[in-house]
Amino acid sequence: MNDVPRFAVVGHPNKGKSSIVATLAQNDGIAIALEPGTTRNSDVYPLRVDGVVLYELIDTPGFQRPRQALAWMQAHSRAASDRPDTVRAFVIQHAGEARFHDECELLQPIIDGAGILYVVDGSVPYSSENEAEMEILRWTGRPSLALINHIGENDCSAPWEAALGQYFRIVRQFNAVQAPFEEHLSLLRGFGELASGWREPLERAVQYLREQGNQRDHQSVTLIATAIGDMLRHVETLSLREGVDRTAATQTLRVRWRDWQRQREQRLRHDIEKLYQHNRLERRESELAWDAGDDLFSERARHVWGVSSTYLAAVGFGAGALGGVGIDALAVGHTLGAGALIGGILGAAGSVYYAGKLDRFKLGPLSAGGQQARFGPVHDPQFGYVVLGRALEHAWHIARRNHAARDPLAFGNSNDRWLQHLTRRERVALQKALLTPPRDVGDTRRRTALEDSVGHAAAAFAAWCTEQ
Amino acid sequence: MRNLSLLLDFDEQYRRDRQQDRRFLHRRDRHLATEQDIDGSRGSLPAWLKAVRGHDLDNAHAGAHLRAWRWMRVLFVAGGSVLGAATMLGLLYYDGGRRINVTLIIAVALLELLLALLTTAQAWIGWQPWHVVFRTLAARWLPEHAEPQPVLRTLAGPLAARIAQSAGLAFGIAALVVLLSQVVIHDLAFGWSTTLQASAPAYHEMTSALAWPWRSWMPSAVPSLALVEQSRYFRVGPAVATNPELLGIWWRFIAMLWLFYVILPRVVLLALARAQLALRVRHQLADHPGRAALRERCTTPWIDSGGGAGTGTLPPADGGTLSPSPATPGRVMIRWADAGDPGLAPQWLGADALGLDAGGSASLDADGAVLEQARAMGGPVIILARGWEPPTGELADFITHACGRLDRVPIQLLPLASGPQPTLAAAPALAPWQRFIKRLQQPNVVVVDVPAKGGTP
Repeated sequence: MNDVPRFAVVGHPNKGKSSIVATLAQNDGIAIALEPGTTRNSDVYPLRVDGVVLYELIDTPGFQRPRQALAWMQAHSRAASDRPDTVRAFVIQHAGEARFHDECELLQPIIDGAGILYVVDGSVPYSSENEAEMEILRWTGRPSLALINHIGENDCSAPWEAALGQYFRIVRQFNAVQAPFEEHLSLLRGFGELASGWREPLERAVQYLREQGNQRDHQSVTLIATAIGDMLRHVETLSLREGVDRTAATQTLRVRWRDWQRQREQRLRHDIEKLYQHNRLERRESELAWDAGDDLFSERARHVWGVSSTYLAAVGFGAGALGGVGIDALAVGHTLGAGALIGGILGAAGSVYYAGKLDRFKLGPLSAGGQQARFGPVHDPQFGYVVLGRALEHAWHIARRNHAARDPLAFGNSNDRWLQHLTRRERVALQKALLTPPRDVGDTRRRTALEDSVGHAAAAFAAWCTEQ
Repeated sequence: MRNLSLLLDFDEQYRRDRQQDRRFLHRRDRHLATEQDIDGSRGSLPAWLKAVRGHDLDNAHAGAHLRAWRWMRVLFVAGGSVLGAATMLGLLYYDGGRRINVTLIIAVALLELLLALLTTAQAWIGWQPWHVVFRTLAARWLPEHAEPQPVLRTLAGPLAARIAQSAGLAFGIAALVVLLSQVVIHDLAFGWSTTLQASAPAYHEMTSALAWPWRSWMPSAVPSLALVEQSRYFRVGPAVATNPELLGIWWRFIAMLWLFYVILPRVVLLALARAQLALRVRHQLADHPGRAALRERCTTPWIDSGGGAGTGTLPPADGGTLSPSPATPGRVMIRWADAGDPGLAPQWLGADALGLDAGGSASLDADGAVLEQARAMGGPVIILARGWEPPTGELADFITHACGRLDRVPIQLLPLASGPQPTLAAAPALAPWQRFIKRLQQPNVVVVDVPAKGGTP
């Protein structure tokens, strides 16, 4: 246990210690508030890989009485060499004392061998109030690193860097809320520089976390493709007996079908959030009481995520032609390309014809008498684009959201231009995959095609977002 | 069938797992992978299922789904046997007046062959015309099987083909048995007859062609030209044969015809149907979306960064913040930890006001001296603090000491906003300060706004 690198995240109250831990431990359950006293006890967040602990982050309370603590230590120290022991003596002396509860809590892991991650807020002016804290930490003699976190919008990091440089060998900037994932890994790698024996486990941890990130991205594509497949082929049925009002039945089925689609989309979002360990996300959109503006079936959703008729016709032509080429191939070229042409025309016409025709109501015989009303599956190609666009936007935000972030998610600020980042071949394949979703779980060919297309779409969407 | 059961059980578990938390699944399967050497490969699936379910793979689930198919197979095989025996009895029906028409038997055998080939083609194409009938019947008689597992739906074609070929095989074998038994116990007289203008040599040519598979090693089962010539009969004509014994020789040809054109094709096509089913099951098992996910869970390390549990308790939500009153100007202003500008004291309290510094880098003794100076000046005291910083224990101690030293003098705490202008901190930052004062339980300590202009005494 003693060989495991341990890092105590310490500092003045409310400088983002818990935010740093929340982001690095990927735990959005760590309480973060604008009030001191949120963290009263040290909490350990180990990174376990197959049960083996690679490192531990320790979230600690902030200093409350650093000058009094330092005064006690100064009064009991005789030489620089006894300072670490004096700090230990301070903790032993004041253990259980309410006055120095927080100091004892934060110093205990350090005197037990943890490295020090001292956190300050670089968005507020430098304060000499921190000097006593930094001096105490220097007295511990433990390897240390200073982190300039940015809680607010101002940048006062220059004076902080100058002051911190006098107490800490390494000073780094890190925005716990906004730093991209690669910076998290870079920071962890930096922790490994604090002591020679810590480099190897931290490097391994970085490697594992990077692989985990890639796996999550891949899994989110699978989740989206599965949800799109479910939504595109979903059918609601209702048994109609003699004398039942068919108009009312159609309306009932339409409502049920749309509710099911909304719930499926909601489930996808929860799955994506859980995949990235965002368990306590607050979304601006409500759960089922749908805001008309954000509803999956709203005009706004269609406007934001739908594609133009020209696009549908052009890509539909390509998708249809692809099928027609098969006929030409079977005829060994004797059709002079007529198959591709006819297929293209049919594909374009079908795409434009079905666009906007979301409702698909059918009546069929019921084995026990009467009729069975069926609603779905959807043939409107726009619906697939709307579902896909909304899912990609949500997943993109979730994948890049740090676990220290507490602001609610807001969606719907995109447009269909992201599709331009797909090659023509990928666009055609995407349209084909959306129009011919997997029939069931065993339909490997279509499932793979849809997953591939969603994967390309996710990459295109990410490229577009980066460009914005 | 073992693979089919495995596929159905795996698919069932996959559908259950879709409801589970992915983190749980990864932890569970990675644990199994490290403990039991399960890697998600085909060979490790039974062990995985056993470990996940906690008992042996007893096919209970798969059996329930396959039972309908098994029953159907039994019924079809039984039906095929009865139909085969009846058909052959019908073909061999001999009333003593007319001979048994070999042409009719050849036609039935070839029709059987055609049906067998069509069944196979239908299974490979995937056309399931009987599917609607089956579903309708299942909905009525076996409602629990009306909507089978999706994975089973995709295998319905090969499963049905296997049943059909089994029934066809049973048909052929039963018919052959009846033929042989009839040959033994009856004196059968075969002949051939057709309305077409067929000559005996042409007919002989046709039977020789049909007998091609066995003519080299069983020439006795190939009708000779003489036999063909002598066994032709017409509906209107003499029924008595010139050589009655000769007419019975046809049975060898018919038995071999039945064997080679009805039974053996069915055997081959049944094997093909089984192979197609096995192949499709193998593909389904290999391409099942749950397999890739399982392999990934088994082969990637389980990383736990403590993301499950939350810690700490959030304070009460901000709200209900009262607007503080402007500070009552006194003669002492203390800047806690360098808060505000040193020039604020004369600006707000007048030229003779005392501006003091405490906290921050000042020593504890200096803090004590500040309180002594404030006591000496008398009157209300304003303490400036950085409103964006949280109130600390040291400030609480300082105020508590001040209350003791200054004896009921109003102590006015003014948390400043960050920025160039000295203004009161905004409501969200102010709330913790008001709660801080409340916790101190000192009646003479209040949070205040900046003094009103012209409030200098």
